[in-house]
Formats: sequence, structure tokens, C-alpha cells
Amino acid sequence: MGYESRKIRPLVGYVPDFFGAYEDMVVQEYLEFFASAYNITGKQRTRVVGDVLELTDLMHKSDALVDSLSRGMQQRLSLARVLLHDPKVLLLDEPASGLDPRARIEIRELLKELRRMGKTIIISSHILHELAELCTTVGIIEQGELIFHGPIEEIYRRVKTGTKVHVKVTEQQDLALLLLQRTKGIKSVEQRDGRLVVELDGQTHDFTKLTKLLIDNNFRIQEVGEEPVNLETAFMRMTKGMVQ
Amino acid sequence: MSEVLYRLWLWFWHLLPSNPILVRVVHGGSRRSRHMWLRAGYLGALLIVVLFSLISSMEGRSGSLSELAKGASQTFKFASMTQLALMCFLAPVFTAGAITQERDAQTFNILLSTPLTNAQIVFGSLMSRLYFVIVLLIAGLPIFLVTMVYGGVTTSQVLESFALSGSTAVLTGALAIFVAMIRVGTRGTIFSFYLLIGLYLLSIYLLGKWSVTWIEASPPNLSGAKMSWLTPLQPFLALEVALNMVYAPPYSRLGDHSGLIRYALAYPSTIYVVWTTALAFVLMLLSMLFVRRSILTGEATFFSKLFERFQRHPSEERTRPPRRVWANPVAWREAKTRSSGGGNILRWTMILGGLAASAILFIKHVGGSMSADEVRAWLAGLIIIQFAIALILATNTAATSMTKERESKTMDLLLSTPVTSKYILWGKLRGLVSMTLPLLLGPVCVLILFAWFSPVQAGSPPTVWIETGLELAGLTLVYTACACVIGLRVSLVSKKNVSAVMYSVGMMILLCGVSWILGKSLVDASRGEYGAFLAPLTPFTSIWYLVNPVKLYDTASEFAQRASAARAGAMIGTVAALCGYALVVWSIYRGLVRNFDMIVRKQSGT
Repeated sequence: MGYESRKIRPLVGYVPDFFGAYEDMVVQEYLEFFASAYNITGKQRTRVVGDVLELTDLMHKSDALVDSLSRGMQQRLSLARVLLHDPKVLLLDEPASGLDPRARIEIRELLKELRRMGKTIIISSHILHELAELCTTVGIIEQGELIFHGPIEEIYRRVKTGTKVHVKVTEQQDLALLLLQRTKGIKSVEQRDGRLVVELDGQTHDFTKLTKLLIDNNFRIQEVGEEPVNLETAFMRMTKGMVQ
Repeated sequence: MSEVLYRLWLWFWHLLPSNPILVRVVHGGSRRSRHMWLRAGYLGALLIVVLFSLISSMEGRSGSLSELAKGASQTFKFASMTQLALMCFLAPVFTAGAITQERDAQTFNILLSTPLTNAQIVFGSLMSRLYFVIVLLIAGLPIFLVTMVYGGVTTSQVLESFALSGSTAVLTGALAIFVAMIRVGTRGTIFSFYLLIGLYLLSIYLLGKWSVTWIEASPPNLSGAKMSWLTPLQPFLALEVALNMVYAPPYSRLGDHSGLIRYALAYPSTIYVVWTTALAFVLMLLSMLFVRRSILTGEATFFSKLFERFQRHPSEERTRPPRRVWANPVAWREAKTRSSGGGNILRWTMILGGLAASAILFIKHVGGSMSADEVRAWLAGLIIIQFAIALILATNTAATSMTKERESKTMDLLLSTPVTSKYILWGKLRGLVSMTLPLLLGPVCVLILFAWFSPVQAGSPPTVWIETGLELAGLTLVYTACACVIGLRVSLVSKKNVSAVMYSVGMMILLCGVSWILGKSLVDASRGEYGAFLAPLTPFTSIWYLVNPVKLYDTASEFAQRASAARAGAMIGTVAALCGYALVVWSIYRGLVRNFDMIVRKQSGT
């Protein structure tokens, strides 16, 4: 890496989890400064700076001093900075940290736009539900060791040990509970928030038999559905909590 | 009654001896090795001055008691002046950090949420800043008592000397705490703070030496100098009176003046101590009003309105038209963005002030009211002051160039781009020198103006030689580059701005001081053409003797006869100095480039 750094740096755009602000520098100068550092000069520099300002919707802020911008604007400026040299890979460290809800949504939309443009975006984040919306592939690192790497669907599939079904019947929920407890193929049943949480055993994935059983026994079903698995629950199941 | 006394004692106990802010510093500061080395350096410097002075003052004396007393008195004068000079340098350095304490430590607001009173916070902050300086003063006391052994030094003189140093330190600290409490200070303010104190001390001292400010009623000393009416306002002038180097007018001979002024002129050192302590106390009281008031946000108060024009609202977005970035962005940043704001105002004030003073000199010279000798001396003095300020400005900016990158977290961004360490360091050096260029160009233009348009009397050399401007242009450029590269070196290895500035400015003052003493001794010993050759080798001797080459000869006629040889000597010396300093700059720069990656990694802990 040490010897190849000169070749690698132009291919990568790095956005740290802080905003490095130079004093007495306006947005336009800030971008021109880094464009020069990437050897973009002359008319090309003016054009590139204009393009990234437009892409990140910062054109109206080009005269604003960078240290007086809001956190959301600074984060957009950081993204504009790394787009100057049109890198293939973007490394983003906690891109949504410290942002208000509006700024988070705006940054998320901007990242989606960059994904559509064909950029490979690597995000390091602790806000897992936001990652689920943005990422196609995830990696989980625990104590410096990569314990999982693969498509997001794969992690869901991997953490699914058995199917959990949430059922809500209109009346006589206690009787329904007793019925299900005595049924073969059901590992456990418990009542939670006015619903029955039914855990099917490892081999059973089809819960239509369950609904048929309840209907046959004259229970009226109000709601039925598989318990959702999200990235947070997947993360909790995959890691051992030995976070450094 | 005893209850009241007990409560008063308790209040005082909480205010100072058991003040948690002070206790923390006393407890932790005493153990730091950096403080130990500074204390050792301070005491070592004092000890060297005392020993050398004792040895030199005793040389050639008969050894009688009166001779010994005279020698001890001379030693005490040197030691007192050194102590005051060190205090004037160290007190601002140690107290200025208070200006940005809230931003840097981010613990101030936590402190405000505790039951500590405003007085405890203000006095705790002041005393914790002054603790080190006061410890230094006390540690130096035994060295001074040595001089009392031989007689010739009275207890009151020792006390006066310590009181002057102590009160100067207290006022400096109070001023820094006041600026910190009213929250108008930024990191840039620290440099302005040093500079203001330096300018105040220097300008009042120089004015005090000007015969126009002397008091008629004051008895003249051996060299004919009298006490100035500015003496009660300046610690060095007051110390001169306390040490009997200049005599204060007797109280009875000041009948023309009103009560307080009469007393101030008769007892200047006492009045200096009183007014500085009183002002420090007033500043402390004012600071106490601001401690909790100034943190209210969104509420207009008397104080917020008072300082509204100076304060910047944190949520306010500021704009200005963009400037064109150079092809080397690092050089552009150093040259353009680092010299903005207060620094820029100071720069242009110095340039315009220097030009105005030079214009006055020129008009006086052309008008015939000033001789060529007088003009040369004034011109050299003016250029020395301008160059000294340029050098301090360059060193200060260089010292913060890498630490600021680290503190503003821009170093990581720069390192993620394809720019190399060589590119960064060269850019920084180029930018720093470019920033100082206008300050250096002013004096050069003035010298060329004098060389071109000054009236020349038949048979005598011109006021300034035409090549002097060019020689000084090259020399001041390499001296500045040298200061910049030293500052850059310190900045690269330092973790914090304040320590980088302290270390590099201190080192620069020491280097200039030592080189001035050595250079002047060498030139004075050589004289003539050899002196002209040696003068460019050190910064301030070069300015003094290149502008004022007549001082290299015993008589003006001798100078007139050997002017060509002096010119040649100065030229060869300039070329040698240019090569020597360029070599020093180049070797330090190469070393920096070589070690850049390793130091940066070490600093970031990777």
C-alpha cells in the first residue's frame, strides 16, 4: 500500500467522521484547494468545482465561509470534496453522525444518487437501520475480525434459525394459546403485546397450516405475519457483544 | 466577632488555598517534567548572569569591601533586569492560554454548573495560570540573596525588584483572564496578546529614553540621562529607578504637580506596583461579573450589547467573494488565509507605519534638518523594528502551521490526496515566506528611495548605497526563510499550538539575542572591511552595519577614504551569508521531508 499510495489515492475518496475546516476559506476556495491537491488545474478545475457544487446542491453557498456552515452543509461539502477527482470508491466514516433528521434524509438521497452514478460506496456506521436502506452488501467486524461479509439478504437468511409468526385472534386468546402449545411442529408460544408469538421448529417454514388450524377450531384471525428480521436484530444475533 | 472572622477565614480558605481549580494545577503541574526543565532553565539563566556578572565586575578591582559592594550592586542590576525580562516573556506565555481555555478544554461549562462561586472560578483560574510564574520568582530569590552578602544591595531594592516582576505578572494574568471571561478571544488573540504586551513595553521604554519626555527636576545620572514622566507606567523604567541607574526627582522639587502625579514621579516603582495590582484587581472584579452572565444565549444583556460588535454569533453564516487558489494550494493557504483578520491588519499597519516614518525621515533629511549620520541611525533602527516584527510574525505563523492542521483536523484530508510530504512542506515554506514578503519589501523600497534621491555632498559617500537595499532584500529573505523552517520543524513535532508558539518564538528570541551579542562583538573586534564582511552573518548586525557602515570606522573621513573596500567586504559577506543561511534552510527542509511521514504517524498515534 505504501508504494502504491500514489496510484490508489486518486481512486479513493475519503470522508472522515469529522469535518476538517480551514479558517477563512469559503466553499468555492475549499473545493478549489482540494481540486489543486488532486492536480486538477485551470479551466478544468472551475468546471469540476461547478459540477460538484451543483450535484451536492451547494451552488448557493459557494461564497459562505466553511466554518460557518451548518453540520449538514459541511457533510455535503465533504461529499463534494471527495467527488472532485471522480473516484471509483468512496469511503465514508459515519456519514450521518451529528446530523438533524432533514440533513440525514438529504445525505441518504445524495448517496443513493451516487450509487446510481456507479460509485462503490463503503460506509462505516453504527446506525444500522440506515445502512439497511442504503447498502446492498454488509460486513460485520467484531474485535477487529470480519465475522460476516455478504449481501444483506444473506445475513437475514443466516440469522433465521426458525420462523416466528405473530398471530392476533379476536377473542379467546388463552384457548388459542393452549391449542397451539399442544400442536406438533411448534417449538414455543408466548403472549406479547396482545398477540401470540409462535415459534415454529427448524423444519417448519410454512405457517399456513397454523392459520388453517386456528380457523378449523373457530378462532377468528385479525392479524397474522412473520416476525420481521432487521439488520439490528441480525447484528445482535451474529455478534457476541465483545465490542471493543 | 469571632463568628465573622471565622466566616471570613472560611471564605478566603475556599477562595484560594482549597480552591479546586488551583489545587488541581498545584498538584499536577509540580510533577510535570516540562515544568521542571523550564524551572531549571530559568534558574540556570539567572545563575549564569549572576556568576558572569560577579566575575566580570570583580576583575581589576582591589578587593576592598567597597569595591566588592560595587561589584555586587552591578551584578544585582543585571540579575534584576534579566529576571524582569524573563518575567515579561514568561508571564504572557503562561497566562495567554487562558484566553481560549473554554474552547480548548471544553471543561469550563462543566465548571460553571458546579456550586463554585464566580470569585472562586476567576481567582482559581488566575492563580492556576500564575502559579508557575510565581514559583519561578520565589525559586530565584536565593540567587538574589547571594548578591546581598557583599553589601551594596539593600533589602528594599530586592523587594522592589521582586514586586515589579510580580505585579507585571499579575497584571498580565488578570488581562488574559478578563479576555477569557468576556469570550471575545480566539486563538489568534493569543498572538495579538503577546504582541500588544511586547509593543507596549518596547514603545514606552523607547519613549522613556527620549529626552523630550525627561523631567527637568530629575537629577541626571553619569551619562546625563534623566527620569522620564513615563517611568511609573513601564516596569523596566521603574526598575532602573529602583536600582539607582536613573534618579527620581525629589518630592520637594515637584511642587508644580498635583498630589498623586507628584507622588508617582517621586516614587515611580511603588506607584507602578500599586496601579498594576489595582488594575489587576479591577479586571478580576469585572471578570467575576462576566463569568456566568456571558454564557446566557439569546438574551440581550448590558455586557452582550457592549461587546456585540466584536462578537460573532455562532449560528450566523458568513460570506465573502472567493479568491483564486494558486496551483500549489498549500502555499496559497499559508500565504492568504493565515494572514487574514487581525494578522493582516497588523501587517498593513506595520507596513504603512514604517513607510510613514520613513517618509518623515526623508523629508527631514532632504530639508536639511537631519544629518546623514542621524538618518542612517534612525533608518537602521526603524528597519530593525520592522524586521523583528516580521520575524516574530513569520515564526509564530510557521509554528502553528502544522499544529493548526492537526487541531482543525485537516491534515488527514490533505494526506488522503495525492500530495506528497515534499509538496506539503515546500508549499508551507513558500507560503510563509510569501506572507512575510510585503513586510520585508517596505524597508527595501525605502532604502532604494534613500539611495536614489538623497542629496550627496561632494567628497562624502551617499546616505545609503544603492546595493544596500538589494543586499538586505536577499538577507532578510533568507533569515525569514530560516525562521520559517525552524518554526515549521517545531510545529511538526509539537502537539499543541500554544506550546509550538512558546517554543519556537522563545528559540527565535534566544537565537537572535545570542547572534546579536556574538555578531556585534565580532564586528566590533574586526572593524573596517573585515567588519563589513562579518556583519551580514547575523540578522540584526547586518541591518545595523549595512545601513550604517560609517560605524565600522573610527572617523567619518576614514570611512570616506575606504568606502569602496567596505562595500566590497559587505557584498562578499552578503553572498557568504546568503549561501550559509540557504544551506541551513535546505538541510532542515530535507530533514523535515525525510521524517515527515514518521512524525505525522507518531503524532496521530498510528
